[in-house]
Amino acid sequence: MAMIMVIGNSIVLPQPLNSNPLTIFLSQARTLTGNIAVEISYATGLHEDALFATGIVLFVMIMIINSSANLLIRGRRR
Amino acid sequence: MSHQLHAGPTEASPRVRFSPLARRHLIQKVAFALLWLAGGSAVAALLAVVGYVLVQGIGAINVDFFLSPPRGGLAGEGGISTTIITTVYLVLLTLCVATPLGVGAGVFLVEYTGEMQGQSGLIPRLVALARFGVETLAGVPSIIFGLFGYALFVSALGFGFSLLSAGLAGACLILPVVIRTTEEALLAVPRSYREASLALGTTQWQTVSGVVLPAALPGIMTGVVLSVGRIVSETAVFYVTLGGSSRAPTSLFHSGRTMALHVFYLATETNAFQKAMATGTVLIVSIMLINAVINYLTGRFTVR
Repeated sequence: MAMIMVIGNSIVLPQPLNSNPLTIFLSQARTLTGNIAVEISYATGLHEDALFATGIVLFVMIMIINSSANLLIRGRRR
Repeated sequence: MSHQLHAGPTEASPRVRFSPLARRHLIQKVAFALLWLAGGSAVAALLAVVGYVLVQGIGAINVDFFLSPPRGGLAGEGGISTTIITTVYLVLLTLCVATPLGVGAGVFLVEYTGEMQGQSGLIPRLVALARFGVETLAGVPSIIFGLFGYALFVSALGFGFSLLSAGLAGACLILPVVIRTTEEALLAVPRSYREASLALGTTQWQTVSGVVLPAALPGIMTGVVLSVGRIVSETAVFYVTLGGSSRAPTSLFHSGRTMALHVFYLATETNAFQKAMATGTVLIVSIMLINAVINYLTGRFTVR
């Protein structure tokens, strides 16, 4: 949420602005969270469904990350 | 000869054994300097954020700022009185919902099913699933809770953008925090307390309510105060469930905006950057107060 105010939220893949590849970090971008937060206030119908789908993608990613963290911890314990 | 000299404590790590003392001291100094640098820059970053917000915002703070409601408009006129009221309402509502549920779930997971870990069968499986659920929920980004609250409370149950929707969604958000801190507080209570109580012929409920819960109370309180901080600083959930009306809510079904949400609206929809910073200052100070309470409670908890 804090990032929404500074990341620009444009719906493009981040790309280098010029020949210097490091300028990719200066490109605007939109995160999954940002996608939901920016559009939910005016979304209806299919658009709204798409935002919920974004939420599912985000949720699955978090589940995968958490499970791998759990596996790592369990691996250490044994 | 040098073998003999350096044998002993360094014998275990052969890589270190041959390095001269001076070199090892140098490495130690460099490592120490890097650690200091890391710690120092973390503190500096924190001070920079807090300091910048304070310096930018302090000018707009006066008694009128606290006592007048936001008047809206592109200039972001007015103060923050109604947002303070909404924040307090929302914190109270969220705690009323989340504390009994969270503490109850924590007690259930530790006192009643704690022995089941690793066993097979349907009930232990379900308990393990509940544990996994709590762990997963603790890591879910808050916007997901916002979406959930929006879909269930705002739309499906028809509460609309309201204090009630936001309070319930916020309760879902802090539930994992309350459950986990309750669990940790209960696990920190020595086993001998329970054994002593059970040896007197008490039932398990008498043991839990009369012995274990009082002993774990400071830890549980820490979790509750922690979640107060979470609610006060949360924006994403309330952005999609609370509506954002700048009037003071007079019923559970009224819309409103918290202080954090007010900062977001001021910064994105108005030119009142100084007002946003001033609200941010009030937020930071209240979070600091909450953290001071947490430190006090944990201090009491660990000293025991």
